[in-house]
Amino acid sequence: MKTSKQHKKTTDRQGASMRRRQNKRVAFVLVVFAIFAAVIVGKLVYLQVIDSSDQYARQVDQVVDQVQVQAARGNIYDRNMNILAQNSTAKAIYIIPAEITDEEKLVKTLSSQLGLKEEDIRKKAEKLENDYVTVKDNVTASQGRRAHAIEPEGLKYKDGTLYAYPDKIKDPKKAARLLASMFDNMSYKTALGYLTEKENSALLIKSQVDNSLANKILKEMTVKKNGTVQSTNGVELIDDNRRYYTNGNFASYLLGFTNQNYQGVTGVESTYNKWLSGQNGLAYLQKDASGNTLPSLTKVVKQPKKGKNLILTIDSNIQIIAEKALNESISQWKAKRGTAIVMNVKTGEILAMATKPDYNLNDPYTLNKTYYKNYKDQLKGHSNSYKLNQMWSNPAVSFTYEPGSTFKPITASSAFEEGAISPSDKVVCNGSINIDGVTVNCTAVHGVQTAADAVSNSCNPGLVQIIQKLDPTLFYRYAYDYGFGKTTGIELPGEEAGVMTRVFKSGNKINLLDYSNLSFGQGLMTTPIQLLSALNSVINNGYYMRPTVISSKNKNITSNASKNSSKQIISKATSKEMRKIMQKVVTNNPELAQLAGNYSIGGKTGTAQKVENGEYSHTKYVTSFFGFTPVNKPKYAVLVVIDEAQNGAYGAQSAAPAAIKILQQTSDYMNPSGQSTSKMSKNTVIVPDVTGQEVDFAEQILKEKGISYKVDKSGKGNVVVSQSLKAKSTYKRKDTMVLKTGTRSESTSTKVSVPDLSGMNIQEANEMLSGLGLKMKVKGSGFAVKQNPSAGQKVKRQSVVTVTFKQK
Amino acid sequence: MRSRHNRGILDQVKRKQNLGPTDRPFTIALIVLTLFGLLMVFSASMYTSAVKSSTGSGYTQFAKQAFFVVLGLIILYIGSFVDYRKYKNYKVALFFLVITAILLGLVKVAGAEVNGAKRWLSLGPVTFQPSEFAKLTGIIFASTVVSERKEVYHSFLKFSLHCVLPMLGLCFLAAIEPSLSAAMAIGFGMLCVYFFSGIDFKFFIPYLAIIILAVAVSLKMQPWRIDRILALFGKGGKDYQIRQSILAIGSGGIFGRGLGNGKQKMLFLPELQNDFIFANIGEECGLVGCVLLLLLYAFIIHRGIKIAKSSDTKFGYVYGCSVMALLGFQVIVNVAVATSIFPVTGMALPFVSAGGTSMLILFFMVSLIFNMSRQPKKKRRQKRSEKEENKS
Repeated sequence: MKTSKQHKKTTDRQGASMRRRQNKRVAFVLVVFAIFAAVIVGKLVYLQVIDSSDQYARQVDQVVDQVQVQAARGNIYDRNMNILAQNSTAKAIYIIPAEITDEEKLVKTLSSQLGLKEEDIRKKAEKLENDYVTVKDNVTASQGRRAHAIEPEGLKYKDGTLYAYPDKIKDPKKAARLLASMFDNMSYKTALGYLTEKENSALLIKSQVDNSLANKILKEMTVKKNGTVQSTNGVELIDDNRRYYTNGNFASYLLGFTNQNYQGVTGVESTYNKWLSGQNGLAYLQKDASGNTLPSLTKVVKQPKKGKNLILTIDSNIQIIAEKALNESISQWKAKRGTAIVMNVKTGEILAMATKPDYNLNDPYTLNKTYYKNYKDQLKGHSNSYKLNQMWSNPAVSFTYEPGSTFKPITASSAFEEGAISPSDKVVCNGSINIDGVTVNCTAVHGVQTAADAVSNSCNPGLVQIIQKLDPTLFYRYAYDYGFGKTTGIELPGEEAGVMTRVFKSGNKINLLDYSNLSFGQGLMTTPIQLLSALNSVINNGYYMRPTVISSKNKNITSNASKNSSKQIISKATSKEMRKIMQKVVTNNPELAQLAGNYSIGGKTGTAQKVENGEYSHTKYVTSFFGFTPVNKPKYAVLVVIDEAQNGAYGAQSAAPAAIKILQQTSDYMNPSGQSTSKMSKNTVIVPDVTGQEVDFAEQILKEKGISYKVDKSGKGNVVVSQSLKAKSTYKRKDTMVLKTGTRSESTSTKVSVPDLSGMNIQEANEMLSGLGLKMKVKGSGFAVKQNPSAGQKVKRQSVVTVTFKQK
Repeated sequence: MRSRHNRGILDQVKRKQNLGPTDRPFTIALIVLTLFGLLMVFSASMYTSAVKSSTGSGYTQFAKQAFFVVLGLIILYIGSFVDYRKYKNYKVALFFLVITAILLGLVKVAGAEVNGAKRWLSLGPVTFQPSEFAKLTGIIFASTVVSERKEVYHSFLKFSLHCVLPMLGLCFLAAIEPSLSAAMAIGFGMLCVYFFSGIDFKFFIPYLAIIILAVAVSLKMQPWRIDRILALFGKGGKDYQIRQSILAIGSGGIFGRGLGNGKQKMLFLPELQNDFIFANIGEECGLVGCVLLLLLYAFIIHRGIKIAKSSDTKFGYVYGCSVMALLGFQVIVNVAVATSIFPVTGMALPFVSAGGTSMLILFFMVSLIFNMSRQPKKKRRQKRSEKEENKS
């Protein structure tokens, strides 16, 4: 105790000055700390206040991926609100190469299930990382230089760290050996691992894959352990959208389709792309440093806005009427292609716009075999994309041809309206006429006839005499007023303007031959829609209606019709005269009169030689027929154009029957109380083609259409493999449709039941069979009367069905 | 109270030594700091833990850290009852110094290598860092020397032998691991002891020259450190970690993104919960959070030095002040690295960064200061000891 006290006292004595020194030193250190702290706070203020937004932006760059959220596309309806095109969900399949555990299995499964080439998938699966991979820290500069020297692109050294760019390394084995020898704690295997690291971001394999198929693939690839997912073998699914066209091969040219980016390519899908697309949403997808997205942090910053629905003027039933009539005509006359347009005379609304052969909107990238066969001469040797583009272009608006005799009402109405010649004035036909030394032949010797009869007789010398009475300046004014030489402005892509040039010689004298030729439709080019619109105004009391496919029911849309400033080209009286003349065309022709029966139909035939290499072809013709009904108060007008009907058919034979049939059926359908023989009504529901669709989706469609159905689930899987009611047939209220289900592979590899083909023409039967993966053997021509194997029998895919056709 | 007085050993110890309560502001500040640190470790590590752990749980790192914090608080509590003067024993201190040196040597031979450096020693399931241990034994040894061996105040030779030689030895052993940051911390801590003890300043001058030389030599031997320093001055581009750290702190702004909302933790800053935890604090708590944290440290240091100054022994004074100075040094180095003021070096943020050894050593170090604060105040104590004298 004593020592301790002594010790304490000595410290106390020494202490005073010593403590002061000590306190000073502690204070000194604290002051130094305070200076550093001030510097730190200063730096923090700089980083977090002054430079903050910049840093924030850089960080956002690094962690945030902006992705567009696909907006659902608007539906397309016909005038009776039948759905023609609608949105359906699908999946896009991606793979992440770095996460693949069993490459062989992945490649095999994806190639067989998705029908892709193994080598393409393998290439993606083996893709190397294109970003840097840290190989080793604390590397000396000399080691770094040595590594860099053998792989100047693939190995890089910076700040004591060696980085590798696997996709740029030329000889990974050699580089790995060097690294293993350079660093004692790195094995050859580890080094090779770094140098051949696989890509870590997702690569697209296929988009717009069926949900069920995509999920099946994911399930097959998933490896589970104790209920938790260990790996998906690199497979990732992303929600995707897909367009479904209710009837496949139906109004293909009018509707058009969308590409993989969900943008319209042709048809109204293209012209009203913006309207239908809506606005894509925006989502921020957060990633970590390895590029993994963090689902819980995905934020939709802008909700996608669904596209607006589009209502068309077309009527599905009239469209079917037109397509059927065309098919019959084409198969009967072995024509290359036919186009029919049905117009509402008073409004210019297009009720149907059909072209056959067409293509399947649900599978637009497959070249229609019939189409290719028919146009082989023009398509051969061209690229596939050229062929597809040709197939997709809509002949109703883009096919330019010489109208021939269907142009005659234009010439005559202009001359009558101007009083250049009266319909009752006489013209003479001697079977031919001489113009400036060139002889123009006629089909017959008509003798002395009225100008009106010359038109209904389709007499070329008569028309030449009529046009020669008319001042060319006036003629051209009428021609331009009728819309020749310029586009109609219809809401469809690829419309051609045709050709209507003044054929003046040098000086002010006209070339009489060229001018005279115009009278019977030679020396000018038109398109079906242009000619139909012009002829429509001839019979519509002279009022020109702009053709349109967009219904006035759509709000806030600028359709071609909304630009309509109705112009009157000829007087009501002249129009009435023209209708009378065109009625005679039908009544004076025994064949046409018989076809028309007791329907009040007027029209004009046309047969024009095709121009090939600047010369008129003597074997290739474009035949056409313009018709309307009823004659006194026309409601419906139709133009049928048949390209290269074989057997030397004239317009009256090949195009007129189809046009007359369309007019008859259309007026029956639109006015069922009249002299109707057909049972179609406005409420008619057309059976959609749901085979190949998922059951859920098929059910949704059938519910929308009001079709009662049953699902036969005896087969496994959830894809519709067959439907009991024929697609595009008319649905009868009491019928119940039975859907048979199967797996996707079943619908591509195993058995199918043979459909009932009776009554179909060759093309229809072929479409139906090839759609099911069956082959057709044709016997005879006309309409199917017999088939082997019979309907309902189960046969393997790719087997042959023999169908016997007979003319009705 | 009296009836329950003999309930526990610690109560008995407390009564026997006539210990008071610990310094309340110091205690509260330290607990607040520790809990905040735990929260930040949880926030910083949850993504990495969830991604890397086999169970997919985000709590792996957090659970580990929470365990060490609880263990540390227990050490702190028990330690606060142990008379700090008991550590002032030259022979024992020397013994532990030698043990530390052996462990540091052993780690170079048998340590586990992580990122090219051997800093960890594993004993079965437990791994620990001898370099952290050296900070403690170094300061205790130095404090003992300056209070027990008076000759060091008078002879430069004795000063060199008893003070500088052990310090350089420990620093050298830590530096060759290589862990330059640990060597710096050990050196700084021991130097503070000598400096605060009042030893004549002229004794230091030759060694200051040697330290500068040593740093130069170590830079020469490990050239990648030069790169890091050059990087700081805009040459050769900034270090990846620093760039990410700056991004994190900068994107925090004034008020931060809010706890748990940081983005840099998503593997951009590797081992964020360790040396770069300040980046996460900057990102999630903003400028306000960073400044408050620095103020909290300043308060703890201020309070700790106040306690140390109230101690009536030289040992207590130099030990307490040096531990607080070391704390300040580590904070400054860590934050200065994270904000790109200093070159990259792995210094933990005391009481916040994840790391078991560091946490336990820190708690143990401050437990002595806690005991100091429990000691009766000078005047009362003098009176008491006089009373006792009278009794005897």
